[in-house]
Amino acid sequence: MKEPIIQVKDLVVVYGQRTVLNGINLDIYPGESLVILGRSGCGKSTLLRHMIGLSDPTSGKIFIRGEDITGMKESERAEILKKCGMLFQSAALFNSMTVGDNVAFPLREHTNLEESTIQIMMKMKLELVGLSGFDGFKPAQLSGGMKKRAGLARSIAMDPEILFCDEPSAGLDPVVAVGLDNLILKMKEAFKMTIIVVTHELESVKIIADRIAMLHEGRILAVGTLDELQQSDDPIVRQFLNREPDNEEIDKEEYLKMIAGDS
Amino acid sequence: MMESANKIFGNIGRRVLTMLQQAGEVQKLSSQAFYWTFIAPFRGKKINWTNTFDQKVKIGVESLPIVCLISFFVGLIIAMQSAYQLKQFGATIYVANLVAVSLIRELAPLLTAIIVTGRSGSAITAEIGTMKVSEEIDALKTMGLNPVKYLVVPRALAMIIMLPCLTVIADMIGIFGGYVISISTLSITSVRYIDQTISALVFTDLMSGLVKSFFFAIIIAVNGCYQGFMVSGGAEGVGKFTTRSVVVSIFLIIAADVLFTALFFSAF
Repeated sequence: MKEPIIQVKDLVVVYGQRTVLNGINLDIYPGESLVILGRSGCGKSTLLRHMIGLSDPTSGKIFIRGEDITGMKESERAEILKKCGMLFQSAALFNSMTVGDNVAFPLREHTNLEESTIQIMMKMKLELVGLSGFDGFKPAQLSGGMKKRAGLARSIAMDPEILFCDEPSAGLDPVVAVGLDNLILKMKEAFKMTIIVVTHELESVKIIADRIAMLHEGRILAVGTLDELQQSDDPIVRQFLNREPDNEEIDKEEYLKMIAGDS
Repeated sequence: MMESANKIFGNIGRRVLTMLQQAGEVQKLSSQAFYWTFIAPFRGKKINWTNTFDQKVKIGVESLPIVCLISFFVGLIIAMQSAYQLKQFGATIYVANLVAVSLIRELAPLLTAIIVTGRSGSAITAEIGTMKVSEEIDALKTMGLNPVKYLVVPRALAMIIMLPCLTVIADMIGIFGGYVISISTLSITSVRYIDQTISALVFTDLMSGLVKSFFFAIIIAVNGCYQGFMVSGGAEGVGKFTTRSVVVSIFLIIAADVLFTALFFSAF
C-alpha cells in the first residue's frame, strides 16, 4: 500500500456548542481523486477548510506528506500550501485584478521568474481551462462558469500536487457543470494531481470520483468506490445515493404547537 | 432577585470578556503589522511598494481637494469668530496667533484625521470586508500568503506617511484662510499678518500636531483593517462593520487627542 499524501486523524471541530466534525479519520493516497460527499451542513466544507489549514481544529491532527500542519508555524505551513491549490465555491478571484493578473499572482509572489515567463505560463493555464484571450477581463465581466474556470487556472498556476475543490459545480447549469468536472478530471490525468472534491452532486461524483467518503452529521459513514457504496446497506448512504427525500412525519399536535407558539 | 443579579453580572462579565478578546485581537493584528513593516524587510521579505504606492494615491492624493477645502473654510471660520471677540479689545492682530496656533496644534490634525477616516478608513474596512466575504482572504491564505503582509502593511504604511503630509498642507491652507479674512475685512496688512503668524509659532507647535497625526494614522489604519477582518454575514455585514469602523476610529482619535493635548499642555 502506498503512503497516504494526506492523513486526517481523529479530527474534532467544535464551534461554540455545536460539534461540526466528530472524530474524522481519513487517508488520501497520491494520484487519487476523493470526493467528500454529504448533505448540506454535514461539515464537508469544514473538513476541507481544515485539510488546507484555513482553520485550526479543536483536536486531532492533519498530516500532509507526513507533516502535521495543525501545530505548524505559519511560515512552514505557507511552504506546504505552495504545493496545494484550492478552487473555492465562489471562485474567490481577486476582484481588483484582471483575470490574467489573478492567475499570474501566485507566480509573481512565490517565484523569481521573469515577467515574460510568467506571462507565458499564465496564458498556458488560461488556455488549459479554455479561457485564452480573457486575461484582460475583470472577474466581474465573466459568467459564473468562466469565473470557476479562471479560479481553477489560478489554483493550478503553481502546478500543485494536491488540488482541493469546494463544490465545483454548485450554481452552474448542467452543461457547464459537466464541463468543469471533465476539466478537473483532465487536470488529474495530465498532472497526476491528487484531487479532493467536496460536493453533493451525484452527477459530479460519477465523473470525478475514484473513491468517495460519505460524511453525515460530522462522522464518516462509509469510504469506498461508487460501486461499493451502492452495495452498502447503510440506510443513510442508500437514501443519499437513491435521492430519496426525508420521511417527514408530521405530528399534528406538534405542528399546531409550533405554529401557535407554546401557549 | 438572585436571578436578576445573576443576569446583570453575567452580562457585564460577557461584555468584559468580549472586550478583552477584541483588545487581544487588535494587539495581535498590530504586532503582526509591525513585524511585517519593520522587521520582516530586514529578513529578505520585501514590502510591496507598488501596492503601497497605490494606497498612498488613494489615501493621500485623492483626499487632497476635500482636505484643502475644509481646512480653508475652518481657517475662515476661526478668523471670523476670533475677530468677533478680539475687536472688543482692539486686538484684531491677534487673530493671526489664534488661527495659526489653534490650527497647527489642534484643528488641522484632528479634522484631517476625521476626513481621512470618513474617506479612507471606511474604504479600508469595506475593501477588506468584501474580500473576506467573497473568500478572497481565504484564497490568499491557501496560496501561502499572509493577509496582514499583503493587505494591512501597504495601507498602514500609506496612512502613516500620507496623514502627516495632509496635515501640513491643511495647516498651510487653514492659515491662508485666516489671512484672507484678515486682509479683506480686518484691515490688517499682508506683511503684518505673516509676521505675526511667524512670531506666534514655535517649533513644538508643529511637532505636537505631527505627533498627533502620526498616532491618528495608526488608529485609522489598524482599526480600519481590524474591522474589515471581523466582517461576517455578507453585504449587510460589510455595511455594519464599515459604520462601526468609522465610529470607533473617530471616538479613538478624539480620545487620543485629549490624551496628547493634556500631555503637550503639561510638558511644553
